[in-house]
Amino acid sequence: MSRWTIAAVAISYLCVLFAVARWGDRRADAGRSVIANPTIYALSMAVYCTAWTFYGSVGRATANGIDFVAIYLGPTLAGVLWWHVTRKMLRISKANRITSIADFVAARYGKSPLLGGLVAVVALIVITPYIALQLKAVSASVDVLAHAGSDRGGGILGDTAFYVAALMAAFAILYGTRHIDATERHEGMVAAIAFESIVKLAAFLAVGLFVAFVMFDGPAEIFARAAADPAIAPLLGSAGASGPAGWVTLTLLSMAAILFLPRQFQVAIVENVDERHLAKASWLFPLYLLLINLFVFPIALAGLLAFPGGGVDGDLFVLALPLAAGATHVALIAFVGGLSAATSMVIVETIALATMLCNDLAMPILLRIRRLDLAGRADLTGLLAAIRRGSIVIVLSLGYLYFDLIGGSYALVSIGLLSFAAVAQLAPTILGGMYWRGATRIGALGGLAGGFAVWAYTLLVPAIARSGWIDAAFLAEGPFGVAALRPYALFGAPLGDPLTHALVWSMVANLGLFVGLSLATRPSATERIQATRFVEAFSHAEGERAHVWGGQARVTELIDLVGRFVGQERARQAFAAHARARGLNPERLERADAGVVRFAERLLAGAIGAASARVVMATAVKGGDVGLDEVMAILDEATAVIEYSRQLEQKSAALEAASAELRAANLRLRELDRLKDEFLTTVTHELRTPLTSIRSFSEILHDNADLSAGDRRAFLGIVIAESERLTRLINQVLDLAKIEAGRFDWQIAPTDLREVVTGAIAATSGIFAERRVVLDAMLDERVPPVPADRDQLMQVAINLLSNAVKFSPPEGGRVQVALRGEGAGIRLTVQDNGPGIAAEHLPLLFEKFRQFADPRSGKPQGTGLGLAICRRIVAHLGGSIVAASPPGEGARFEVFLPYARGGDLTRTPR
Amino acid sequence: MAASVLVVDDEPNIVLSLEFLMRQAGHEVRVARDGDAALSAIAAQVPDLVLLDVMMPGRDGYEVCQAIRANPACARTRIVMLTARSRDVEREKGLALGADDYVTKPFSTRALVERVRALLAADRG
Amino acid sequence: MRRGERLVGLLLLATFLFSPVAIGFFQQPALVGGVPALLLYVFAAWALIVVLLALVARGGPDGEDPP
Repeated sequence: MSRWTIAAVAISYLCVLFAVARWGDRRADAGRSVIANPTIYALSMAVYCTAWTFYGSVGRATANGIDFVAIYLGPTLAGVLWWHVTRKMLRISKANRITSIADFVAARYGKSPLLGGLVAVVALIVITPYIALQLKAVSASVDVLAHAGSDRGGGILGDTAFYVAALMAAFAILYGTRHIDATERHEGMVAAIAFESIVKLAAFLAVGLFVAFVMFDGPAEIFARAAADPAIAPLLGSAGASGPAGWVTLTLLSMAAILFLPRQFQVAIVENVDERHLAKASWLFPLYLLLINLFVFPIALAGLLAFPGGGVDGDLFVLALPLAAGATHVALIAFVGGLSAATSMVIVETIALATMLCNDLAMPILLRIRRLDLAGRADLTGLLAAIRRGSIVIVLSLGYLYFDLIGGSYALVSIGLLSFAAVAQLAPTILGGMYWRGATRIGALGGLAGGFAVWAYTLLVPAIARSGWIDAAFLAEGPFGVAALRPYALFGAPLGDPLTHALVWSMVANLGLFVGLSLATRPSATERIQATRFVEAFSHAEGERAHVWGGQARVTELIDLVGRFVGQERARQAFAAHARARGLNPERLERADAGVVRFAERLLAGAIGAASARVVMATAVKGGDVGLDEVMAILDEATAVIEYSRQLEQKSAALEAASAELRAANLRLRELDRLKDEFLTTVTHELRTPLTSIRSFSEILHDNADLSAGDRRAFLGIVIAESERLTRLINQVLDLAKIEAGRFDWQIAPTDLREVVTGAIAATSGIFAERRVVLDAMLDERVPPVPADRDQLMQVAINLLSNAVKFSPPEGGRVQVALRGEGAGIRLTVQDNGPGIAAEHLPLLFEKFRQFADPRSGKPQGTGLGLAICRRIVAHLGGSIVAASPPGEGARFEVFLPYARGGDLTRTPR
Repeated sequence: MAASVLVVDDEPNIVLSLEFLMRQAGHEVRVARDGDAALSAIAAQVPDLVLLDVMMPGRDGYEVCQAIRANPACARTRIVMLTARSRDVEREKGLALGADDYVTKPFSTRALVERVRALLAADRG
Repeated sequence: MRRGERLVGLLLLATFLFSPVAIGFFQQPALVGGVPALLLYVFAAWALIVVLLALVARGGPDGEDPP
């Protein structure tokens, strides 16, 4: 067959694939999701069946009999476990917006970037050969087809694997990076994968039926002839050369693979639409596995019968048998099936790896480079997409390079099992993390590092050695001739085949370090919180706990922060939906409570992974009075307290350690309490002072009927003045409380400032006259109206004027009032010629209850609330108020009010 | 013989009322508007009793109380602290620093006069 | 609750059926009805587990969160 024909078929098939993905995305955009369906979900899980299944199973069966089945019995067993394990992983991942398996590990162990990075790097190392394997399979299948034909040329298409890799990169970039929020589903991709699953099953069944019923007279004939052939007959009763241990190893490895392979995590967890789909998939997927394996053994036997003497590689029987029978169209069908198996794996695996590399490797590093100030940038969506796309190209390039350099030296199944054994190293960390609260970050790091190290030494290094890159004597005699360190027989242990040997030793190291270090170390507060959220995923209804906490972070700031990563519009919508879901009015949500902060972090986690989200939340918003660091710290501590009280109920063993940290958390809470108390005490003191005078003089007047008329009059005057002071104070405290709580009834209307200032001058003319202070008014004839509350503005003006009078010198006091339009607003200036304000007092001037002594009486005047209220009124109107006091010039207060205010303030909030 | 009373408070109207009450009760009254003024008044002539406000600008009532107790010449001087803060801790702090009595604002004038009288009488008896 | 327990039972059954112990009984090159005994056993056991899984999964609404 001509390579051109093969290329045309392959390209046509891939075009169909692109079309399916495009259709899936279109449907998703239109709101009619194709993948919200348990059957599609089960089919997408069949991405488990790669070219390894399609070609390699037959190859393995020719050598080991029926033991290839163990690789599919593991997932079937896992299907039984799904309801317990996978469902819990789903719950956890949805609640924490997990984006990849590395993210899952990082999130569990205190959002540790180190752990996430480790898993991502190892996944890259482990999966690269696996991707190479797919490219190798496609390339080999093209060779087989092409050699069968007359045309042996084809320089342009000589490197099929390269073109396949390039097309896969294009597909992954097009359909794998459409959304930055990785928890957003790749509907098109999933649809395409499900489609590929149908194609490869149909193709394999077609080949199987052709071989069994067209080439032979039914399977019975194949079996009968095999039984009669003494070279083949032993295979019929063989369950693998490596015995029971090898069988168990294969089963366990494949169980781990179906749960923890990055691509399986991607389709089963990240792309999951509805938890309930799991129930149907838990039997539909094993059924799929059963069907695709039905003809493996017959084809293997048929191949052995048809090509006696081992002239044809068992891995390629699927193609070679139809070709030998002259049925090129069946061979082409087989080729398309193999191609679909290879491409589906490459696509999903690449996307999963790219997400991991971006979120768990690139982002944490970039975010930590302060010079880049990444978190401060306005829009990061483009950068994120670029990193993901770059990662896709890198992953596929590495896969291609591996294939090109050492891929030729190893059978298909061996490379696959190498990856499986590495993925199994994740099992203790992940399962331990899901069911054992005591697992710590150090334990996980130790377990993973130890497990991977032993895996690399007992499987990876030998594989490289067998490829001829290292002296093979190393395998037989151990490094430097030390027999105890032979990679296939560590310490001389008689552990059977290399795979079982590697699994046993790596698990000994992995579990030992994981459990030992976890028991020896204490988890941090974040780790404990995450541990609880993971272990108790079923009993924790997320967000139901009411967090009453007066946070300092503003919701608008959080929206802005999240928006930089996921786009502003999406961030706004998500927050609004969140507020509505909690029964809050999004318009009125100003301060972020614990729930909102956690929601923001989860949204970020969906885009850049849990560990990176943590870093962003901690570093991005700093300065000002926001203190997101503090927000997080308090949040953590509060949750830690909750977590502790639960633990205390359960066990008293950890009492000693727990109570120490509990005390620390308590101390903080008490400090917050104290600040609130301080205000109350001050208000009480301010109220009691005038009350004391009133009561004293009332009693004096009551008890002393014989007072002189002059005294009586003076005392009554004091009672009246102090009553007025009390009234003023109460009004101001109430105003302040209302303004601060956002419940003040603002009457916003276009206001003529000149009229307001003139009114204030009239109102204060009495005290000006009394103190003999001269008032210079320089008011612009006409100023444009500003949107403001007239009465409140009047209060500001009166307050500033009476302050100025109070601080004017007893002789020659002079106050200047100026009002003029200036750029975008109007400026009101009040200047006195008094002693001025000490520089150290200026910053505190507008604080509550900051009183500064009247230079004459030495006694503070007023309530100490006037300027605090002024500042809040002006701030609400979108303006600013500042005080200045150059030495020797008295004090100057400037109020600036803009003509136009922020959009949301034009309405009068009720 | 008339007892000498020093009234220390920064609120002019409260000083005025205390001055009136003490005079009416037959005591000699001097007035100080802050802590420093109070200490110099005491240095000039040791009073029998000090009515001492706690919250004052500059040197507060607690400091003045401590200074009086540190002065051996004032061994017989009675101290009544006045405060608009009513928490128990503050009361205990005042008493611990050597105050003889502690009155919360706003106070009953009759009770205050009676307490001052009782303190001074106990002293003589 | 019931579903979780049934699945545990099913897991035990599957573990036994797929174990080298059970497989070991059939490791002989005999043909049963024209099909190798081992192959027949493995696929039959496999099919049984799939059917049971389907029955449990469809077992009605009594599947709730594990305790």
